[in-house]
This record gives sequence, structure tokens and C-alpha cells, in this order.
Amino acid sequence: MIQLVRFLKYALRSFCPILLSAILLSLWGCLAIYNASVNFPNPEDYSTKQITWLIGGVLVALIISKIHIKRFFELIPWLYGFGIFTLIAVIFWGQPVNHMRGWFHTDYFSIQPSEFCKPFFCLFICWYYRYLVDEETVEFKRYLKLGLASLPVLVLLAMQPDFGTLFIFTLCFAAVYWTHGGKTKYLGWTAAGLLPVLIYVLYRYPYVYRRLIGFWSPEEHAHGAGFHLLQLERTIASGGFWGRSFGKGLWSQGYLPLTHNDSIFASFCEALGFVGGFLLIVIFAGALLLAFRKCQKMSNDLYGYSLFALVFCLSIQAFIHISVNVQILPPTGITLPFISYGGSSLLSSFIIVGLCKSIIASEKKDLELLDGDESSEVKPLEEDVDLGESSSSEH
Amino acid sequence: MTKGEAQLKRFRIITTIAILWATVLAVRLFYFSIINRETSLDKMESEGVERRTLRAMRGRILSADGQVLVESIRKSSLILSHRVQSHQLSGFLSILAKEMGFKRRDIMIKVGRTKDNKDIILKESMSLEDVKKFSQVFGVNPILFIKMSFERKVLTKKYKSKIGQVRKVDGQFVGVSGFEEKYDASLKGQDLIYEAMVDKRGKLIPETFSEIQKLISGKDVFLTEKEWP
Repeated sequence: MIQLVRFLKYALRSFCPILLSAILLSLWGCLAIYNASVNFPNPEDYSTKQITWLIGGVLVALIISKIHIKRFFELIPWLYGFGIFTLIAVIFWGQPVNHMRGWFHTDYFSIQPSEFCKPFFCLFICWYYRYLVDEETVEFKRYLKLGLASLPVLVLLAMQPDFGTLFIFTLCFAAVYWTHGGKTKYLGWTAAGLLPVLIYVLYRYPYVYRRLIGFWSPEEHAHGAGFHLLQLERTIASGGFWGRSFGKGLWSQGYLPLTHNDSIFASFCEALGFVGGFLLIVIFAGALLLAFRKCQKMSNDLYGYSLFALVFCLSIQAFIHISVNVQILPPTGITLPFISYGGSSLLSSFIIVGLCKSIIASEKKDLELLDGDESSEVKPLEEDVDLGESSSSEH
Repeated sequence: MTKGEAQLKRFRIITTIAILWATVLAVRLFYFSIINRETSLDKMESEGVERRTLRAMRGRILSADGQVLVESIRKSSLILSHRVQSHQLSGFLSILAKEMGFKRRDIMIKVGRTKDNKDIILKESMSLEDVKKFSQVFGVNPILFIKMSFERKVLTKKYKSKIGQVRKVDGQFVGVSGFEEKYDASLKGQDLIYEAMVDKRGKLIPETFSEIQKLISGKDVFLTEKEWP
């Protein structure tokens, strides 16, 4: 009995607010997936698989959170290198789905390596920038080296081609560089230099161009490129203010394409209405705000930057997904973290949660160690005082 | 301004942009969910709702002593929807050949002969066993499905001309001669007309069902001894 109580206490301590929020959000996601797939041949199949991935994700997050973040920084060049290797492998041996070659398929599940690269990419650029700050004094060289180190991942993503994920990685790179104090003009020049590449992409991949056209005038392309966007609008409208409740989604089950992954926000809004959708936006914006406040207080710069970069990556992914669903951006194929169906996406999100927890715990441990060192330095004085008191009492 | 302060300012700028972005998303969501809702719902109704008819079963004609002279028989035909896509077709063909003994070549000929936008009748008058097997293999499938219809069958060879004939007008039997014509009003009943939302696969969404005209089956007609000696 005592052991059980101890275990429960340990479990409660382990499930800190960040992890608990992520679990609750994912369970909410499982309900949304069930709602979206209720008319599929095996309605429970998707939500059951997602719950399995959720259990795996929580375990991974717990393991990661117990490891000091310094260990990850020691290993980060290797982890990043392994990420690049998987991205190369997927181009040769991956299976093409929806115009892109980004998945490894097995009989039981599929893996998307680019999802797993996200957390390690964020950690790597934070770590490498700090490394360069110590090594290089010229800002331009620093920018160039950071850019060259990030380039393999970005190029490999473009080769798949997974432009949605590429967009997130690029934003993360820009945010990390800029918040570290990088020069805005270098980012501006890079953006200008990428314009011809963007034009080439539109020419090389006609489906990207069609998506833009469909986004620009969905009503005119109601039976083509604009179909998906119109269905997103109608699905959200169908939910109204309070929603139709889970399992009763009319438009999400009847018309909405990719209702359980790329369009999950609209499907979610049909079930829980404006209230549910608004709450989800608040959660992701709140997470970024909390990360900002937390990183302000951190004594170790690298920890602070890394925490911000990781949460930024999750929140920005959520914002892009929601923006597509409310027709602010053209379809990108990006999933909503914790909510959308997809084992790789969920596991990657939980790796980020684990890393965030590890950063916070490591900062605390480091501070305790520092306090311990300081107190050990003054200890002899305290002992003297004690001795003095005891001697005086003897007297 | 020290470097630390400058970086903090940039953190603040990024966070502020993110919060502003979130606000725009919330406003846009409010627009779709509340302000523009009625317009969207109207469009949804005009695009998604379909009016369908379910035929009433035509009544029997019986002699005065209760002998059935004419009856309607349910006929189950296997239909392949014109919405079928090439990748679906190959899947259906292999299952039909394996589970139901269909010949791929025969089906392909039928598909080839059918005009665009017309459903393809793969097999007429399926047996009850075939229907059961089909339901086990395919379940409810909007692309490959069984369509019910009625066939008028005269069970007596005597005075066939007296009984008369029926003709299909808009999918419904109409008596054109004999007793079929005389008692047409009683025999034909009333079709069920309903409106419902149909999904992108052509499958009916049950929650949206609304009845426009009730189903009344055709009444049986007993002939008098004078009419049918």
C-alpha cells in the first residue's frame, strides 16, 4: 500500500503541468479523430491507433525528461546527423504519398522522418549558434556557417517535396537566428534570394500553383483546387457557436477531405463550435507566452533559447494549420500538433514536451547545484557558529 | 541598450506577432462560425441536399376466392455507380471475381458499353443468397450497391388479356389495359419522396432525412365473381 502511494506520488510528480496538458490535449485529439472518422469503414481504428501512439509518446517524454539537457547538447551533432541520414534514406526508400516521398511504410505503421527531425533541428541550431558565438567574432561568418549547417535538412525537405514542413523549419531557423541577436538584413537578403527559387517551385510543381489559385478564388474553382477550402469553411459554419458534439459532425463526415489530419481543426470546430476552436487557439498562444516568460527567467541562455525555439516550433505549426483551416493560408498539408491523426507527428510533439520538461528540470538542478556549492563554501562558518553556540550553552 | 536587452526585445516582438496572429485566427473563426454562418448553410443545403424517390409496391390482383392472379416481385440488381474511379474499379473487379464468381471480362465490356453519367447494371435479378453474400463482402457501399425494383408477374395463364398490362412510366408501373388499368388508382399506392444530404461518395446522411411524401403501399384488389368467373 505504501509502495502504491509512493508510486502515485512519483507519477504525479512526473506528470508536471506541461506533460499533463499535452496528454489532455492529445486525448481531446483522439475524440476529434473519432468524430472525423465515424463514417469510415473501421471508425475506432484511427482513434485506437492514436491512443497507442499517445501511450508511446508519454513514455518517450517521461524518459527524455529524466535526462539532463546537457546530455542532449553533447549528442546533438550526432542526433542531427542521424536526422539528415533518415531524410536521405526516405528519398531513396520512402513511399510516395500525395505527391511527396516522405514516409517509410511497414505492415503496421508509417513513419515520417521529417517530424522527428523537428525537435533536434531546433536544439541543433540553438546549440550551434552558441558554439559559433564562442568561436567566431564576425557576424556574417556566423550566419553563413549556421545557414550551411541547416541547409542539408532544408534541401532534403525540398527534394521530398514537403514544402509545409520546410516552411516551419525555415521559420524556426529565422526565429532562432533573429532572437539570438542576428542581423535582420541577412535574413532579408536570404528571403530576397529565395524568391527565384519560389518561382521555380511554382513552375516545377504545378499542384503548388493550383493550390495558390484555389486559395485566391475558391468559389471559381469550387470543383477543383478550391473544393477543399470551401468544405473547410462550410464545416466550421456547420459547427456554429457551440458545435454539434462529437460523433455528430455532418459536413466533416460527408464532404471534408483529409478530415482526420490536415483538416482536423475544422472537424474539431464542427464538433465543439467556435468555443472549442477558440480554446485551442488560446492554448497554443498561451504556450508560447508561457515559454517566453519562462525563458526570460532562465539563468542559462542556451536553455532559454532552446525552450523558446521548441515551443515556437509547436505553436507556429499549430498556427499555420489553423490558418489553412480558416483560409488565411493556402493548403500546406501540415498537421495540428497533439490533435491531428499521425503517430510521427504525435511522437515528435511529445519529444518536444519531454525536452521542454528536461530543460526546466535541468535549470532547476543546475541552480540547486550552484546553491549547494555556495552553501558548502560557507559551511565552515556555520559550523563555527554552531560550535560557538554549543560551547556557550555548556558554559 | 545592451545586447541582452536587444534580444529580449526581439523575443517580445516575436511573441507579440504570434499573439496578434492568434487574434486574427480567432476573429476569422468567429466570422466563419457566427457572422457568415447563414450564407454557408444556404450554400450547403443547395449543394448537398438531394431529392429521392422510393417506389411503392404495386398491389396484387386476386380472384374472389383468394387466388393470386398478379403480384409484384422484388428484383435486386447489382449496380456500379458512374462515380466509380479507375483505381476503385480494379479493386471491385478482383473482389467480384474472387468472392462472387463474376467474370472480369464481362464486367469490362459492360463498363465500356455504358454511356457516361449512367450507372452500370452488372447483374439483374440476383438471388437472395447472392444479395446476402454481397452484403457480407461489401457492406453499404455507395459505388457498388444493390438497387431494388419491382417486376409485375402474372401467375395465371387464363384470360391474360382480361388482366391487362402495365408499363413503366418514370420508373413507376401504370396500368394501360384490363384490370390493371381499371384498378390502377388502388393498385399503385403512393411513392415515398424524401430529401436528404448526400455525401461526396453519394452516400445518404441519415440525420438529414426529411420526408416530403409518405409511402403507401398499393392495395390488393379482389375481383368479384362476375369479373373473374
